[in-house]
Amino acid sequence: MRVDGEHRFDLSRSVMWEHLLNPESLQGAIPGCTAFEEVAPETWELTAQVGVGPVRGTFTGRVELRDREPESRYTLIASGQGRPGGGQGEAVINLTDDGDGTHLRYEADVTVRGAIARVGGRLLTASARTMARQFFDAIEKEAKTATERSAAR
Amino acid sequence: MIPSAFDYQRAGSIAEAIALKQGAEGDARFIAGGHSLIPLMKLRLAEPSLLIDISGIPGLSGVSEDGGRVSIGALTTHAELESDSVLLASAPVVAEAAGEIGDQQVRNRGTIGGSLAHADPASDLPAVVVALDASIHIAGAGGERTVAAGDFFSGLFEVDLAEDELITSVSFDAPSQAAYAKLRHPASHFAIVGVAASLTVEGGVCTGARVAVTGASTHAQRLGAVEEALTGSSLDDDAIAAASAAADVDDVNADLAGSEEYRQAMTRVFTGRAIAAAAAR
Ligand SMILES: Cc1cc2nc3c(=O)[nH]c(=O)nc-3n(C[C@H](O)[C@H](O)[C@H](O)COP(=O)(O)OP(=O)(O)OC[C@H]3O[C@@H](n4cnc5c(N)ncnc54)[C@H](O)[C@@H]3O)c2cc1C
Repeated sequence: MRVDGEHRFDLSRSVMWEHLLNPESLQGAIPGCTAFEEVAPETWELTAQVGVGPVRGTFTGRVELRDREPESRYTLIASGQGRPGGGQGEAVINLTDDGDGTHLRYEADVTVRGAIARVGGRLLTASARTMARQFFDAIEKEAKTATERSAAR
Repeated sequence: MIPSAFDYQRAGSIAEAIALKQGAEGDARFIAGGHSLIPLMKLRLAEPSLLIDISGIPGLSGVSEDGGRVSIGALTTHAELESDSVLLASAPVVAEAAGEIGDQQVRNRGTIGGSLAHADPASDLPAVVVALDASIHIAGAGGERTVAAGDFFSGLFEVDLAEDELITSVSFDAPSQAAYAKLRHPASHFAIVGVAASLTVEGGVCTGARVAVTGASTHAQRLGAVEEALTGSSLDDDAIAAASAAADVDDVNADLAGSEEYRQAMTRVFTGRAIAAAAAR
């Protein structure tokens, strides 16, 4: 399944770049993230509470960041497994300037298995987009808090 | 098709339901008609540890009208809405939409409160309550509050309702002319798209319009450009065609039942039908 989408951040490209690839910000932005551990360079294993509406579950997974082109582009490879099923995907993320802010575009290829795959077909794309939006909103919040914190120092 | 083990408790009052929820450990959920929650449990997409049955709470069922304001209790079933004499006289659009939900078994169990709280993107009643500018009445530990239906739905299964809050009722002013038009999925009867239109007409001119769509996107939402195009028009065929051509939806859903292009096209068609039916009422 292909999922693509866009997101606008108020913060600049250099700030967003820093936070989108920063383990601390990532951990803060991933919903219900309890464990987040670097297991290899640029590769983390994590546990998170993920869900949309009534379908929620604890997932364990792995995230890898690759092909960085500073402040403009990277590839995110993720896989996860939880009780409602599992999945894996690869997303290419592109950042461009948008006035004072940043425009992000993602294109992902995702496969899912288990109960989610058998019955979720109707809502998979919409769910994936919803989770992406939740994540981007959260990472922007992380970035804003961090920026305010350093400004207050 | 067998759910995981769960505990079950029946609440005798709103306060008891909220207290049970607040005192519960793990994933406790309210259950009303069970026709959204139990299918998810059978597929193990939801695995609540406790079900708090609210279906026996007295005073949360039925339809009443007072001075042109219609009120519907959260536990009122779709079947009750479909044949309710107050609704048939004052807000037939609600009865009409409820009568198109699923099949008889689903309508006998499913409730308006459950339907709005669950906010399935393809469910019918959200579009109707948004078009009617209904108020959604909510009770929680901190007391009661009211949210406008247009602000209640915010995303995919996302509503303005905290974990320990209950919908108690829905109320709205009896519309002067309103109708619902739906393209239903042939198997489930869920809306591929459904459009509710509520019009105010004075001397042959449309002076106010609220039009809302469900099924097309992540949640029920107003079609602002359609409303603008209708306001001030004479609601003739050309005006209706022009207004429905403005039925653009952001973030259109795509699935086996229809591509983005198909849903967008059907949104225009069913917007036209809903407006025409409302204009003829
Ligand atoms: C085969 C089938 C076909 C269907 N077709 C359609 C259709 O064509 N159109 C359509 O619109 N719907 C359709 N439905 C869904 C049906 O209308 C459901 O009954 C309804 O969506 C949920 O109501 P419920 O009372 O059964 O809720 P439940 O399943 O009991 O609960 C659903 C969710 O809402 C919460 N909840 C329930 N009541 C309240 C409350 N008062 N306050 C706060 N939270 C509450 C629960 O905690 C749960 O999370 C269909 C269902 C089935 C099984």
